[in-house]
Amino acid sequence: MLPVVPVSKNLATKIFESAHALRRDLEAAERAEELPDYLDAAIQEARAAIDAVERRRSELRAERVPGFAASDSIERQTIQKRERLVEALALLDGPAAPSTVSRTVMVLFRMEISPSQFASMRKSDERAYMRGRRRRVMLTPALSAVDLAPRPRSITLSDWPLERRVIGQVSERADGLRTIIRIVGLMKKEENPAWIDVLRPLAQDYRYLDGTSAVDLDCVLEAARNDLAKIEFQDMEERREAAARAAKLPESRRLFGAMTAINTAGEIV
Amino acid sequence: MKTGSDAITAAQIRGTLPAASLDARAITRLAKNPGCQRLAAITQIGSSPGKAMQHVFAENYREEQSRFALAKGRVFERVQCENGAARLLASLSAAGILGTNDVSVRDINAETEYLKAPVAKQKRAIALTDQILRQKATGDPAAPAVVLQAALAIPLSSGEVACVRPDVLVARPDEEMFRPGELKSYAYLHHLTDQKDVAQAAGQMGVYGMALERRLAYLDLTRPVPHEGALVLVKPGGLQSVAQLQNISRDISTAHRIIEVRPRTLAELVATIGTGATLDTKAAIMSLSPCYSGKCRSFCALHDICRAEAAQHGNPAILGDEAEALLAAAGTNLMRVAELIHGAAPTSANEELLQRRLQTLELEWRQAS
Repeated sequence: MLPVVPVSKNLATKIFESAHALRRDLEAAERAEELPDYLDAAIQEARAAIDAVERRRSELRAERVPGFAASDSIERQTIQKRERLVEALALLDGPAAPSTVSRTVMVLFRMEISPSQFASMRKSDERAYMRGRRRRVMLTPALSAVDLAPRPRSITLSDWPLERRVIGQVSERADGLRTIIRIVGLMKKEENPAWIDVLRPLAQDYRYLDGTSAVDLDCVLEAARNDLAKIEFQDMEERREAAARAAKLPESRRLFGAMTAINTAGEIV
Repeated sequence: MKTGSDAITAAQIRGTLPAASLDARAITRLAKNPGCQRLAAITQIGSSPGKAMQHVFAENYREEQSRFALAKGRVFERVQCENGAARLLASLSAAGILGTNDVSVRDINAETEYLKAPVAKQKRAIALTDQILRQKATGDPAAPAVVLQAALAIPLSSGEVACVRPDVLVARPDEEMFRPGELKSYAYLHHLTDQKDVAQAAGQMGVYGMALERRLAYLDLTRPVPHEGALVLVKPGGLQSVAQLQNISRDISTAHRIIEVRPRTLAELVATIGTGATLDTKAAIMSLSPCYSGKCRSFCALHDICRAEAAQHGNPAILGDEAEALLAAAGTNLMRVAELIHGAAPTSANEELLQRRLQTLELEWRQAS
């Protein structure tokens, strides 16, 4: 009879040994050349292996422990929601009011994600990043142009240029107008009547439509373009200036906002 | 936020009473009944009638607004401020308060919300607001047209700092300083708009105006604050808003007066309850003289306590304003009024006049019935 090898113990030993070796090498590394770019592929491979271990463990646990599958499916649903949110933001191609993003997800995927869930998804991505599990595209906050701190209730994608992720004095208005232009473009291209659910409340904010009037897409588009033209230069200037400041921050702070300490006068130190 | 040794005095008088901020609502509440020493004392020591009611008189008492009203107000404000305050800007522009190109907005709440500690958050909000006020006062064209949830710190003579958060500060680029504004989820019905609602909002804007003037003085910025506030109400049938200018000169003066008499109120308070005594007991609170009227019910959590006391003392105010005006002029209480009606001999000229008036009224009533 073959001896039973405790697989978990075997795996745990390997993981501990690898982690220990990595830390030891990292302590010794003093020059940039010792951490070359080609390490990226190896790091990605290591992450994929860890993910595979976690996935397999979840599968086996689901077979063994009754009730585990249910919580697993909730986790999967959350993951799916996150992916849908990323797709919706990618389609909008810029920061938008939480209610607009939520309505966009509904139109695209018939899935309800309340704006109040955005923060937890964003935090989850931040925690994963801090633990070293970096996703290709992360949900990140927009940054305030004043002090590059994270803006509450805002949501952006980590692969957007910094200029797009910064919010200045007219940025929210400009982004709203850009969203209107984008949605009108989609409505003209796709002829999906459900887009009106996203467009109407947004256009009502700018008084391009009232609650009952028929939607004239060309009129809305023209009005949004005119209003955007008035503030676009100011918006871009402000964003560029703030983005240049943000570019000097470490990557984690560029993604999730500057950590600020306040002195007794309320000034940043 | 407390600094200085005098602040400890206010805190000492408060004793174990829970603290509440001396904000616009608290100051507006004081303005509604300036003669009430009980209300003034409880507010000025940094607590509130609601907290006093819960802590001293009725543990189960909960001071809260209607959930529906709160939710309605919150939704209205959120919708006005979304997409760079697009709806708010549209209504301000339609009312001619802002130009169509004045669309720059700073949201102080959003800029400080990432700070978790409330004290740090407030300090940062005050610092950001001060920066914006300096920008505006120096005529910087980059100053925003709209500031949402600014934090105006009012240094009080006792060393404390009260922080007032106006819903909105508004100014065109060619104006020297911001005007205060208030967002209210009351329906705008032209001349039929409820005057009580408008007066309530004007009272709050008066406090914001006073806070702005005092903050500017503290920062050595001599710019006049417009005495017309921007009142933003709901357009019936949706969540669009309507803005209008509202004169708040009188409300600003009232708010200044309330802040100015504060040290005197504290001194009188110490004299009434005694040095070293605290205001966290029933006896101490009841030793302060109230100024009960039927209106107290609408804004003061202690109205039941004061009403019971008024009934016990035969205070004519419990019969309403008209009865109070008629009976109190003679300096009588309800027990004496009953005696006069039943033919007791008047002891003064005022009582004699009152007795005659009461007899006439009784005759009219008998004839009518």
